[in-house]
Parts: sequence; C-alpha cells; structure tokens
Amino acid sequence: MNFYDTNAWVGNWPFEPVGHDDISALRKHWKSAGVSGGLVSSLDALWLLNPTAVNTALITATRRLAGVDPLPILNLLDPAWEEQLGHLLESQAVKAVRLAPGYGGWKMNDRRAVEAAKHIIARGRQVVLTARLVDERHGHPTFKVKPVAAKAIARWIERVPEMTPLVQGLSRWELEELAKLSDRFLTDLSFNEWADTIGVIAKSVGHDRIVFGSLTPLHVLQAHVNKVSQSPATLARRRAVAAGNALKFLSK
Amino acid sequence: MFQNRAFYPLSIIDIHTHPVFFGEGSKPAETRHQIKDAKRLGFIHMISLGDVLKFGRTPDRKQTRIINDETAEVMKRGKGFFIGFCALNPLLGEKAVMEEADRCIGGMGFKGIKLELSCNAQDPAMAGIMRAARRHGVPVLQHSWSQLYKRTRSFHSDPEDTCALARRWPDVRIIMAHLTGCGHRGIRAARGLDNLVVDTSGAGPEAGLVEYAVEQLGEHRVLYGSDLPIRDLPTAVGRITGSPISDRAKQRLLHDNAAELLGL
Repeated sequence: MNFYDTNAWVGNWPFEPVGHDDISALRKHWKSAGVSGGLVSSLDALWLLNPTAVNTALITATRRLAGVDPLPILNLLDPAWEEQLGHLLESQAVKAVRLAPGYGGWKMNDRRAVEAAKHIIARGRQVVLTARLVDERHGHPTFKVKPVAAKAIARWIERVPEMTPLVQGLSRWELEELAKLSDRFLTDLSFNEWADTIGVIAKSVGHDRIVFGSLTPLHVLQAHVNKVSQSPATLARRRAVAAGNALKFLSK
Repeated sequence: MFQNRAFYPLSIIDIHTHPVFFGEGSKPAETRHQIKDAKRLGFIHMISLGDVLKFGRTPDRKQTRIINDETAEVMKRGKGFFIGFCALNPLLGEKAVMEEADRCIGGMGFKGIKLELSCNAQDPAMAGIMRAARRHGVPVLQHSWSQLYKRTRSFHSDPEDTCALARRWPDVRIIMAHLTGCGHRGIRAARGLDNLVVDTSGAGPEAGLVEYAVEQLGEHRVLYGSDLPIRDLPTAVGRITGSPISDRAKQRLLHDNAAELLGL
C-alpha cells in the first residue's frame, strides 16, 4: 500500500529533541514505514513572524526529491504577509500553503485568514489548516496552544466558497461538530482515534475526505500507518485514505 | 534514531480495555465483533476494566456491582479472552470494598482491581483497596495523568500520587495507567519502584515516550495497553512496534510482562 503523508515535519521542536531535523532523515524514516512521500513543513517556521527564510530553505531542500512536497507556513500576524505569500507562490513546487493560527499568534476569525485563503486558491493552490499540533493536555506547563474551534473553522470555510481546505488535528468530537456545520473540507486522522477510526470518522465525512497524516516526528509514524493499513475498511478505501485522496486534493 | 521494523507479535495481551463503554459494547453481538477484530490483529487476551464512569466518579455499592456484573458477563461471553478487573470505589469504605473484591476476585475469577477517579491515590481511603489487593494477591490499576497544578487533583491522580501509593504499599503491585498522560515526569517519578509498572494506554501515539520508559524503568516495567474503544488497536500496537526499542523489549511489552503479572 502506498502512503502519502500530509502531516510531516522537519526541524527543531523547542521543548524536546525530536527524531529528524532534515529531509534525508525524514525520507529514511518514511521509507522504513512504507511511506513514499508527502507534504513537509518546518517546525522552525511555526514560530516566526516572518518565516520566509525557513520556508525558502525548505523549498530548496525538497527540490528534485520525488514525492517530497514542501508545505510552507504563512504567518498572518506579519504586516507584510502578502509579500510572504507572494514569494511562496512564485515556486511551482508549492502545491499548498499551511496556516497555523495557534502558533503564529493570530485568530481564525481574522479577516486576513479569509483574504489569504482566497489568494491561495486563486493561484491554484490548496490550503492546509493546522487546528492542533500537540495535545494541549501535554504541552509545556507555561505554554499551551489551544486548538482552533470547529465553529471558527466552519465560519472561515463559509466565507471562502471556492475553498475545500485540509483541516488537520481535530479530535473525533471536534470533527463531528465541524462536519455538522460544513461539508467542504478534508481531514487527516492525526488526532482522531476510536476503535475502527476510519469507520467512525467516515460516518461523519465519508471515506473520500479522509487523508493520511502522521504528525511525524511528534508522533510515532508506524502507529498512524497501522491505523490505515490494518483498518477493517476495504482495500480500495484504505488505499484512498493512504494516498489517493490526498493526491487528488493536491492535483485539483 | 528510528527503527521501524516489521516486528509484529501474534500473541498480544492488552492490559487496558473497556469493552463496555457508556453502554456501548454491552450486547453479545458487539462482544463477538470485538473479539473477532482483536483476534484478527493478534490479540489473545484483553483485560476488561468495566464501564467505570457509567455512574460518574463515585458509584455507590449497587452501581459498583452493576459495573462488575457487566464485566463478568463480558468475560463469560469471551470464554477466556477477556480477563476482568474489579472496579471499586475506595470512598465506600473498607468493608464494602472488601465484600465486592471477595465477590469478584474470589467468586468470579477477576484478576485485578481498577481504580478510576473516585479519589486521589494518596487518599487515606486507599488503605482498604490495598488490603483487598494484598489479600487476593492481585494488582491494582490506577488511573493516572499528569495534573501539575490542576484543582482536579483532589480526585485525579498525578503519577507522583500513584508512585507514592506504590511506595507506601511495596508488597502490592501497581499498574500506573496512561503512559502518554503521565509523560516524562511520570516516568521519572516511577524510577526505582519495583512494584509499579506503567501501561502505554491513553492519548495519541506521541513519540519518544515508549523508549524513554524502557530506558528509565527497564523493559520489564512497561506494559502495552490501548484504552479501547477510545483508542484504535492497530495504532496503539504501532506505538510499541514503531518505537526504537529492541524486538525483545517489544515482545515483553506486548505480551510477556502482562502474562507474568497476571500469571497467564
């Protein structure tokens, strides 16, 4: 089964050492678990007002690496965010742009979230939203990032009619809440778990809107691979979740 | 750093499951489905901890009996697949605790005691529980989660509370639940306590904890657990098989340690 990972990271995590800080280590790690490629973001870019230099380094590092697609992060708190975005979209390698409000320091209801999404979509790229990266119960005691609320995500989606974003990091309950408010998004399973996760989540969003995302190196890659490969879903559905749905999303 | 291998044992024991969870899973067909799916994945036993929050944090005597009778029914249906742990509320007093422990462990073949959120593990009421465990020679599985400064610690046990319990009762074996919830702090608190093991249940498959627990506590003091149905079995197993520990350690976590603890 071919896996395409939509939620992989390189770089440094400020609170503890994590597995791989460069693309070659990530690729080796992916290969060991049967993952052939994916979208890669930089942990270092999460915190920066202007992450352009880190994003540019990521784009350069992934150049000519088959299956490895850079997923730069845009920080809307930067007064010059449009310049940041314009720079990112100059690269044809960028198929999507990640928004991570909890880490960038901005709110989902910020008008710039709508403007940026419209701009990205207009340029033929996709939007990936990080609603949660770390279980806030286990975050550093003096630094806890709250997940983006389902209602705020739904309002944002509604205001950008051309967009079907990939929303990552919602729990089962948050996802079910969002699914009641909007049917125009895809989800990964990085923070979704229940007995037969795919079967349970598919009841809310359908199998064709679920993509594989491992959150490596913050999570154990093999655990997320198992979630799909050993699911009781049919082989066709598992393949779609493992890679097909994500590749279709990025090729639109 | 990472060592994902194809290692996958075919005889897994899950020390932490709730086959009945807020009523879901109570029907015979649901139990049959759970067993079929678990066996497909290589499980040979699951420890059934009961529907422990069905009546809230502090079930009364009658409610405790209902929870345990339900576990007994699941055990009966499973024909040896499910091993029951007896849910107890320490605040009901030693007499009530002892009677229910005698009924479940002595009378129905339960092999352990499960404690949820009735009181903190350092509460004086815990003495009755520990004497019941000692009398029957069974382990006590204590819900644990890093709380730090939260007010809920009055009834919620921090790993340090569970470790204090183990230190106070060195002849009773303690299973400190939820490795991910306990985190690095919990692992460090558990060092040097030979009567305490940690189960890997709870929360997502956060990287780094399984190998840290094995490194700090030894491979004989970490047990695989899922927290089914809140967790997905292949994912919970994958956090062990996908962690950079030896195949021997994986075998111990996924099977041998639980088998030895419960005399299986």
